Amino acid sequence: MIPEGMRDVLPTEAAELRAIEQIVLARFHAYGYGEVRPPALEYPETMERTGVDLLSSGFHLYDERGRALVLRTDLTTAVARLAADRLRERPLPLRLSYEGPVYRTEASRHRREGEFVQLGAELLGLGSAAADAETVVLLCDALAATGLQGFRLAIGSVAFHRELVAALGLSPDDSDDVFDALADRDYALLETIVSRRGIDDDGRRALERALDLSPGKGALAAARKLASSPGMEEVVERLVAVQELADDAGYGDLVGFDFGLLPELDYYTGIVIEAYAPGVDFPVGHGGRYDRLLAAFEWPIPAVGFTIDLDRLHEALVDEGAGVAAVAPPALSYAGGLDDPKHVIELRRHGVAVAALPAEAATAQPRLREIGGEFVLETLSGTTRGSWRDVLRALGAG
Amino acid sequence: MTLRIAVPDGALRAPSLEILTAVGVAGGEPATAPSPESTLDARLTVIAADDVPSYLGSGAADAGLVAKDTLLERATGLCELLDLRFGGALLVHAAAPGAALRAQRLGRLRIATRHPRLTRSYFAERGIEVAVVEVVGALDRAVADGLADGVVALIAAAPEGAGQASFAGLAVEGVVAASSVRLVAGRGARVLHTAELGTLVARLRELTAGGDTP
Repeated sequence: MIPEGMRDVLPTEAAELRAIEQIVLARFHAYGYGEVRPPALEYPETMERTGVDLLSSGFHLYDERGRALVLRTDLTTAVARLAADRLRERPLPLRLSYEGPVYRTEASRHRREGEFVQLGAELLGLGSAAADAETVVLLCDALAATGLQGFRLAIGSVAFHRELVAALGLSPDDSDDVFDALADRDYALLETIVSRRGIDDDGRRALERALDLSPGKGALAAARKLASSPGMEEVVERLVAVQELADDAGYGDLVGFDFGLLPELDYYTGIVIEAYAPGVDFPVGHGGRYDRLLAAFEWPIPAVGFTIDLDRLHEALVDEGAGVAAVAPPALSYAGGLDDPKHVIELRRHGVAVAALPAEAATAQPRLREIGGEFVLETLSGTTRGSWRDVLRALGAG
Repeated sequence: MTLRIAVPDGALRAPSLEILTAVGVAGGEPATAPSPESTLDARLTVIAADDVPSYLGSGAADAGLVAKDTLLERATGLCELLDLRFGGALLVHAAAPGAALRAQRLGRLRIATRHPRLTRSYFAERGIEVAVVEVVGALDRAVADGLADGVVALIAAAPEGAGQASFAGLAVEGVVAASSVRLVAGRGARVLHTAELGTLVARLRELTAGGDTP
């Protein structure tokens, strides 16, 4: 028995998860992101300082002196804390990556797991569109490197809606309603607000057109037309710059703009990013710009980043029918190799993974047996009978 | 790419197929096939109404038709794209005479419903303690059979001025939520099927815009 929301990962799945992790972390490394490993336990104050509710879904516990602790519910916040505590003197920008589980008691809408692994990259100290673009490109690059084919990125902007709603001159309550409707993707409710609240004709048209900013290439051009304030124009120009840089990197076709996109966590201040793959109605990756989060740790620097949800990415790969390229092949079962290990040692020296077993042990493929002085090697590609030299040759180890 | 549309079975099936056929979705009843030039590339799957959100949430369908009360009850996190303005209904609290007095004496109301989540939040907002009895089948005998003091149940949205609404002879005490059928998409489908969904929404909006405003 294990607690609800927890789960065991067995060898076949674990091997694939490990392979995906290594591919993604290698891409992070290729862009100059250095891996950090914050602890699993943080003080609740750390999670609380962000002003975002990261505590109510936390597993809470106490140390031996009665001090409250919480299993991290969010790695971006933990990494921001780590950077502010430990890396403040380093020259900016800082590029940090991480891999590890986060823990949440309250399953979110699409998630039953209480523990799930995030792979993330955070770019600290740059506020430019080029930094936003690097985040977008790295996310595409990391997903593509795993062999995922059908994914698309939706890019939106929290700032655009803030400007749009501000321009409408709505009451604070109505502004909140508009934001809630957008965050819940409740387009029908938005239409109701438009038709019922005291919104003048110009504002009504603006909001109706914002509703029609359907995701895709056209959305950016439509948003540019809709921009009615310098702030909104700036947001659109920024996204245009991001798109151009994504085009340059060869990922332009995978990126669409969705002005209905508002993230679940509200520490984002600018660009927001979600990556989707067919068959998984939950983002395989998400992120955005969070220019005020570091200020919560008395280090007011801009930052942008994303996390990949390892389980969802794995699920998307399985759904696409693609094998994970870098998965290590299963070890060769060698009955008799446990008691007489000389051949086992030689095989391992040649880089062949071998599970040494007692002579009478039942084995599964791929397997190696010695029958009457002759070696029998059975793999998925066929059976080889012959001398030890034949075995080595068949294994590519000769 | 073919858009996979989940259509609810039961009472909503016929009007759902009708409205989809009217905007060029083939695959419904053969007798109501749209003209070939306006056909949308879509595949319809008719499934139990309560299962449509699950199909969308797991990515097994891209878009679907779901009643608003189901969306509220299930808190699905799906994207509502459009109010299709049919299947109008009210989720109401209806009670037997004397239920209020009984509740005063016992300190709580017993409510039978197929919408436990909405029922709890409705009464919690009013400071009334309830014992919710979850029911899968019909609710019209729940009070008569002594299962509960009242029900939270769907009634057809009455035309204005139609007089006092009631449910199975019980007086309507309050409205929990208004419902109608909505076009809904999965979050991922919204990103992966942008063009197809855009066309579908535009056509349905044009078709429904002439209808009665709720």
